[in-house]
Amino acid sequence: MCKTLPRLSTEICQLSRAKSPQNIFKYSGVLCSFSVRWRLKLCLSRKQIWFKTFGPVFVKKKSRMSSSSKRKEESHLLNGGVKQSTWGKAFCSNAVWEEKDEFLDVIYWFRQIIAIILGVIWGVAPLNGFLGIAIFCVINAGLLYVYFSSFQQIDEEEYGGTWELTKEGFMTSFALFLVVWIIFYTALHFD
Amino acid sequence: MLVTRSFLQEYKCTFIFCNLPTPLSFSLNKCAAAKMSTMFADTILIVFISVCTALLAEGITWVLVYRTEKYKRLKAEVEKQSKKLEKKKETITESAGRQQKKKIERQEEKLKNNNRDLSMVRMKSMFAIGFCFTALMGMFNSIFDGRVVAKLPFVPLSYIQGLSHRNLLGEDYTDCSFIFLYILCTMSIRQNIQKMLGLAPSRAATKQAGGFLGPPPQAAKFS
Repeated sequence: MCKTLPRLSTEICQLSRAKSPQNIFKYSGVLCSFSVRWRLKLCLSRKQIWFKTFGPVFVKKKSRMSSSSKRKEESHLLNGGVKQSTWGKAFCSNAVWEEKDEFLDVIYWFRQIIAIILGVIWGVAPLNGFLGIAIFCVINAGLLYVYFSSFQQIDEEEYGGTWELTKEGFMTSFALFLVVWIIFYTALHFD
Repeated sequence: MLVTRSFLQEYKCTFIFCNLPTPLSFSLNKCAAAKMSTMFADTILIVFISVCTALLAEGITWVLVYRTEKYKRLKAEVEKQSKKLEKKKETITESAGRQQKKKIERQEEKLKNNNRDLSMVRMKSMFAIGFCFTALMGMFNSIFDGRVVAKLPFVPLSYIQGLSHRNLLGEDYTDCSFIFLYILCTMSIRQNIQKMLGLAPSRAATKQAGGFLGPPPQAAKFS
């Protein structure tokens, strides 16, 4: 510690433009204080000074924590999981989507919700025949198109084009729509 | 399973009993109402069976595959490589050097091998699930044989009628058989359950895995 402190002080001098290295020894006690350490970290551009003396324990812990929490968030986002903040972004226009999968999951779940709602309405109304299926397809595709092109204003090319966004979760939502439609139609209108 | 079977057989008895000729119209109406409620009960039961079988399939797969270290390692590797490859393909242009193209081809080859290993690991659970479900389907088919389980609000296309009107009497093609409703329920419920539980494979991995069965989408670009 005694050997590194003079070296540190020389380096700090060069960066902080102190008048003489001896002055720094006056501040050695202050240097040890937490707040000065953090201020130094922010001011000094050269990371090796920080890592050499006070930095390693704090920075490593922080990076370990942030990477593990980041990984937790990533694993929660992967494979269809949707965070609370994702739904917040979904209802805000022009939101920024860092992860493509995040936005595609939102599209997927919106399709499922639309399928359930339309299945209930079609079953209660009732709407029969292929007209019902055709109108469902148009509404499902049209609503989501308006959502991602006008409301969110995303660049379709980034996601592989409009077709990729349109077919995201379409077959599953169609099957779900048919199931809900059949259930409500059978329950309410079978004669 | 035994509880479900006895429950279903009870309904069958009620159904048969209600179809016996009786002089009173009141009892006929009661039978029609019982028939309708039986059909709706069948519909709900089939949805419930579909949910249970989807959960059972995922459970078996989790026990045999998902919780193994090998699968976790391979999956993480495939996802990492898929994302890397996708990013590289986005940045590369048509006039890219031969070395870069070869590098991408090598990465694609590596990814294909990892996908194949991943599929091999999943094969175990697929056999187990296939075996269980063949037995289950046999049982449910015998229980619901000849029964109209729902009314379709549309007349299916002729090549689907073979499935939707399977083993049903009459020419009313809006009558729905067990197998058609079960297939629809499975298609809708299983994938949603996988996504909700976080067990669905990532999109990048699925896209690259398409090359395992056929040529990958951008292979021709660099050949």
